[in-house]
Formats: sequence, C-alpha cells, structure tokens
Amino acid sequence: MSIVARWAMAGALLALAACGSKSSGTCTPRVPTDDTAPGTLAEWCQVELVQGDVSALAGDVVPFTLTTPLYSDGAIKRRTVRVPPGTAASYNDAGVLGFPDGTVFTKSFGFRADTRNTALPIHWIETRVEWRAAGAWNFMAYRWNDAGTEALQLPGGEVVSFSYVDVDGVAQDAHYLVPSRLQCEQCHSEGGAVAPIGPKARWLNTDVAYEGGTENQLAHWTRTGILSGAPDPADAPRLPVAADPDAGTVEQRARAYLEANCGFCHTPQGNARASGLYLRADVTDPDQLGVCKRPAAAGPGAGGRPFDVVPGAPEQSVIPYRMEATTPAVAMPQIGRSIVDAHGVALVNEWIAALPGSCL
Amino acid sequence: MIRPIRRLGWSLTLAFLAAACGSDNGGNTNIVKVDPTMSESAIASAFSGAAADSTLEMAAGTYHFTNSLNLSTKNGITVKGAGMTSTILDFAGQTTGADGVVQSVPSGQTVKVTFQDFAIKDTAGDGLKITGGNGVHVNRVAVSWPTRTQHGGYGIYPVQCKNVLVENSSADGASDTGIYVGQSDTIVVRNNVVTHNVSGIEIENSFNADVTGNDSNNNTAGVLVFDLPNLPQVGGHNVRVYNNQLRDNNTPNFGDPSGTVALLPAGTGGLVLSNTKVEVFGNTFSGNAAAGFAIASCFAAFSLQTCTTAPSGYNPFPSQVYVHDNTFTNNGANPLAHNTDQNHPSFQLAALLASGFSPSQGAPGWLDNHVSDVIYDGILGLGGSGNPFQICAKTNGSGHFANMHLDQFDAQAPNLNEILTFDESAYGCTLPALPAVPVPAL
Repeated sequence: MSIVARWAMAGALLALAACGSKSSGTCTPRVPTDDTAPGTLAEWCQVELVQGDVSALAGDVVPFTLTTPLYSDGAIKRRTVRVPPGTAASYNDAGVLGFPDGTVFTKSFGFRADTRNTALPIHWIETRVEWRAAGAWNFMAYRWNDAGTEALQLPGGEVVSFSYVDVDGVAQDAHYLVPSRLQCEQCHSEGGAVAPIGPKARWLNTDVAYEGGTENQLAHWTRTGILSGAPDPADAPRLPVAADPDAGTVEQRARAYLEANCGFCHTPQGNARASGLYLRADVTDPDQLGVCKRPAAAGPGAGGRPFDVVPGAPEQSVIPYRMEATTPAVAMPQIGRSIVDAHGVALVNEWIAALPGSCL
Repeated sequence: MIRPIRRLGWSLTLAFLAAACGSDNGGNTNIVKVDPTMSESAIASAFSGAAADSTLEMAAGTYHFTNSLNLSTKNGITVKGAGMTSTILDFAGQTTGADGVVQSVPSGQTVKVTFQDFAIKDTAGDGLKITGGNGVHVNRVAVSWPTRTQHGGYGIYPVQCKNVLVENSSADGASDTGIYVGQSDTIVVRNNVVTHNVSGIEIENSFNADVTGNDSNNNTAGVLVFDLPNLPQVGGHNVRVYNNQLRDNNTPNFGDPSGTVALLPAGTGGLVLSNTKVEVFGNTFSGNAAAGFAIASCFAAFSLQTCTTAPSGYNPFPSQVYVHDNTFTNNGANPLAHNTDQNHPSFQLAALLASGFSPSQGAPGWLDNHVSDVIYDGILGLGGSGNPFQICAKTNGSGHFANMHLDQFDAQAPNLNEILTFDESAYGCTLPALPAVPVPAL
C-alpha cells in the first residue's frame, strides 16, 4: 500500500492521500526485542522518503492520524505504526490501546518555508521512534541531515532554530526542540511507566481517506487485523478535532485541546501530578480543572494572575497566560513549544469567557 | 529553504561518551565521566542514559546549557561534581525546558538519587527539581541566579518525595523559595545557607520534617511551614524547626504577585500556615523588621472560597503549634520599612501589622513599640473561643506573644491596634515534644 498520512489542519475529514509510488526496497521492518536503538532511522525499515515526504514503507506499516494533535511549533507531522506480523493491539475505551511487544511507532516532524504553499518541499527535522520490547516502551529521536537524505540517532536532543511562515501567513522564529530520551519520558509517563500518548480510541476514532477509500481508523485497523476487540466506531469514545468549529461545542473542542496539549502531564499519574491541576477531557471537578484554583508552585509562571481559570475572564486566568508565553520558565507545555499556538489560545479563551460563575 | 537563525555549536556525535570505567566508588560499579569540553547533547545523553547505581562524575569547569538537563530515573544514581564552586552548570543561555537539573520519577516507582558538589546558575525556572524520589540526598549543591533578571521559582525543589535529606547546600535569589520541600514525607533540611530568596526554606503540605542548623538571612521571609489547599497532598503535620538562624530577612518581596509567597511582608522571620503539630524551638530570630514568628490560618491569606473548596482532609486552621525557648532580638520594628510597593500583595499584610501601632482612642497597640515576636491570627471559625487549636508559646526570653483576633479585623478601616490582645498566660501552654525525624538512610 502506498499511502502517506496527510494532516489537514482544520478539515473535518482527515485525508490519507496517495502520494506517488514507492518501493519496499530490500529491507524488512525491524521487530525490536530489547531497548537497543540502531544508529540510523533507515535501519528501522519503517518509513522512507517518497517525493520528499516521510512515508510508511509498503507492506504492513500503517500511517495514522489523531483527531486533535499536540501543537509542536506548527510542525507538519507524519505517524506510522507497525505491529509484528500475526499480532494485534487489544482495544480498550479509556487508555492507550494494548500494543504487543515488537510494536514500533514513528512520528516525523517537518516544516515548509511557507506552510500555506504545499508545493514547497518539507524540511524534515526529526523522526521519533517509540517501540515496545520486553513489556516496556523505549524512545529515540533521529535527526535528519540538512539534505534530508539520512536521519541519525540523537539521544541527547538538540534545539534547532529557524524561521518559517505559519498556517496563517505569520513569520515565526522557532527554537524547535528535538527531545532527549528523558525529555520523551517527561511527557510519555503514565501510571508509573512510560507509554505512547496519542493512540487511544478517542483520538483515533475518525474517518480518514485511505487509498482505497474513506474509512474510520478503528474500523480499518480492525479490518486489517492489527486491532482486536474494538466496538463499532459509533460505540467507541471520540474527542473532536479541536481546530474544526463544526466538530463540537466550544467546550468540547477546548477540553479536547487541553487534553491533547496538557493532559499527558496534568493528570493524577503524570509528570505534573503535584500541581493538582488535571486537564484531561473527562475531568469534572472544577477545582481540578483549575476553576478558581490558585496556581501551585508556578514561580514566575503565573503572571500575577490569581487563579488557573477565572470564569468569564481569560485575561485573568493563568492557563492562557502560560499558553501565550514563550519564555522557558513560563511557557506551557514546558517543552516542545517555542511558538504560541494562536488558534489554541483563542479556543481556550473562548471556553473560559463563556464559563459561568466567578471566583471570590 | 528553511532559514537557520543560528547554528548551535553542538557536534552530532553519536559515540557513547558514557564510558564505563569500572572502578570502585562506594559500591557503584559504573562511573560515567563528564567534562566541559563535551557537547551539551553528549552530556544530556549521558544524564539521560545513566544506568542504575551509576555515578555521573562532572569534572571541574563551567558547563553551558540551552536546554533542561534531565536525569535518568534508574535507581541509585549519583550526580557528583568537583565542588560547589568548581563544577558550575550555567543555564544563562537556556531557551527550552523550564528547569535546570530535573529528575521526574514516574509515579509509583521507588528511586534513590544523590546530587552533590556542584553549582547550578541562572536557570529559567527551578534549579534542581526532583519529583517522586524515595531516598533523595542533596549535599553541597549551590543554586543561584547571578545574572538573570527574572529568577526561577525554586532553588532546590524535591516534590512528592519520601526520605529527603538536603544538607550543606545553598540557594540564593529564588523568586519563590530557596529550599522547598513539597508534598513529601520524612524530610531533613539541615546546615544550609539560604539568602535573597522570597522565602528561604519552606516545608509545604508535608509530613515529618526537621529543619535545623540552617542560616536563613536576607530573604523576604526566613522559614515557612505551610499547608495549602488545592494540592493533591494536604494535611501537613509533624514539623520541627529548631536551632536555626533567621536573621535580617528584609529583602523586598519580588515574588510573582499570584504566588502564595507574594503575600509575605518583607521582614518575616517565620510563619506557620494551617499546619498541625509544629514545634519551633532553639532558633534565633533577629532583625526581621515585620515580625519574628507568625501563626496563621488559611483565612488570613486566602478567600473563604479558596480555603473551603479544598480536598477532604484539609484543615484551614493551624493547630498544636508550640513555639518555645527561642531567642528574639530586634524583630517587628517597622513592618512598612521594606514593603513600600503598595501594588504588590505583600503590602497588605505589612499594612495590617503596621495598623497595630499608634495607640489611639485608648486602644493599646503593639507593646514596646514593636510587632510582637510571636503573633497569632486568632481566627477560630464560627463560635470559637479560647484556645481550641492549642497554640502555645512560652519561655521565649523577651519575646512577647500577641493574639491579633483577625476575625474582628476591618480591612476597610484597619483597626489592629484596637483588637490586639497580649494574653500570654492563656497561650503559655506546653505541648509534648515532637519526635525527631530519622535521617533518611541513603
């Protein structure tokens, strides 16, 4: 199958469009059995460049997308997953799907000089590989060279500075972070173990355009045998495309955005558990959501604002203040964002502005 | 093409620079040597890939970082420099990652760690942050902000840890707290020097802590024992503060206005907020211009809504606080002296204390023309009377006790001079000594 994931920023339909032919080459995708990472991305034999796009290799490597992704300085992202032949992930409603040992994910990050002009080449920065072996998840980032011909492992990470024009036509200066392995774990930590974040039913449950036609991802994964036990997509949970005004109410979309961009740390088992601020979409306790909650241990990060969320008053709320910041001690998330996501800020502001009540 | 702004001078070295030397180091079998000639990425790789029971040895010299330095969460790692003044981790050029040296242990794991003999300078956020450790030893680590204009929140910051020992270390210039232990259990903070922070040392929402032998000077406030609402662990209790020097803590409050410590008037020796079972003895409080030692409830600091919308188990009232056998010299002389910015939250409590002066209309005002050495907010809740929470102060030399009865305070027309009482006999009770905290076996 020659399909390439293509993320349409505000589209209701996420298209996985065919993008030219490619060869499967001579290599066989790697099925890892331990925490050892090969020195080059090519040795994973899971993705290849096809007409300048990091694409799933032919065969059983599956490109996928999420309804609402993490904002990463506006990077173009491509995701793939492969489970070992003859195995399948087990379905569950709430958490990460139960991927078997030997599962390999890739996530590639790149930019166009002008995001709006899709005729321009994508400059690939890095491809992150996450794999499961002996019951544990492991990480490695691979840094693409300037020519875009090869990606080499970079366990200690790097800050890559460049400028580009974003989806709105605004020139942006990025200090893009290729994370160190530990910085991967900083976000990918749940319930005492490191784990993937995105591949949960509620983020995968959406239609995408495969080469053979449009199909729901959960249904596609079930039909192709890499997922077992999934219900009909209509009976599976779903969080909306936050960027799509037609995908849900402001509250639903804002809460989806907050889970995608904050909820991996801000959860009782996550890295920000000490804050008591929990931002997953299923949280109902106003105090945990930050409503009239004093910021905890924020240092200079609170910007003089009294509460994390002040109903009706985004300009007095800490959460948007930290979303609008780019200085390292203030900005949230703490890593992985050096540019303000104006669309995300606007959505969260709209949600806070409409909240009833007041703080005393 | 993507236009590079600047190329960071890091080599894309792929070699594993973490060379195992195999020599003996107190039972460790694996020593990884790090030196300042290595690229930041290579150093980060060594920290990130450190094995269980290994020692990262950082040679003398200055290391420059643009990113947080995250340490592996394998059990039993030691990060060791050549000395507090010779191995310098300099984060003045930090552009990403909020904090300096970070270890974030996933919840539920048991991970010991030791940090010793180095300095951390100019981090964007916190200096040394450890989340979720069990057996955390920080020894001879110096955190400071000599060149940054906006200082990070915390110097040395273990949170949600068990068995914590912070000793022989220093923190200078934190915009919140120099040495801050939060939501932790079994803590010893001893023989440290903390200066020019908003708060010198704070034990917050924690159980079983000894704070002793520290020199806390020239902060906004010397030492804090707090139990705050809205945090996962509440019910702070069993904290001893003894044999410390708490002097001249008169640095104007430069904390972010929304932080809790922003409420502290410059010139505060120490403060207990809402904790249960706190014993304060053998300390010397001197030259703190606003107040020597204060005992307050959540309501003195925050709104009714904040203090009552708290997780179950939160008690907004301080109780069983025993302040005895301390030395008080020249405290409370002028609460407004170092609190001149009327727009900063710290001004409010300074103004409140100042309103206790100038006897008028027969009101008594502070005794001897200074804010009393041990002051209690006296907020008892509806129908409360007497000393229901067992607040006790005795044998503090010349130090006087005062009850401010803040439940009768009129913020619109400050009237502290009319509601103050000095009923030392009613509060001169004795409480059982709290047990010593065993120094964590590390």
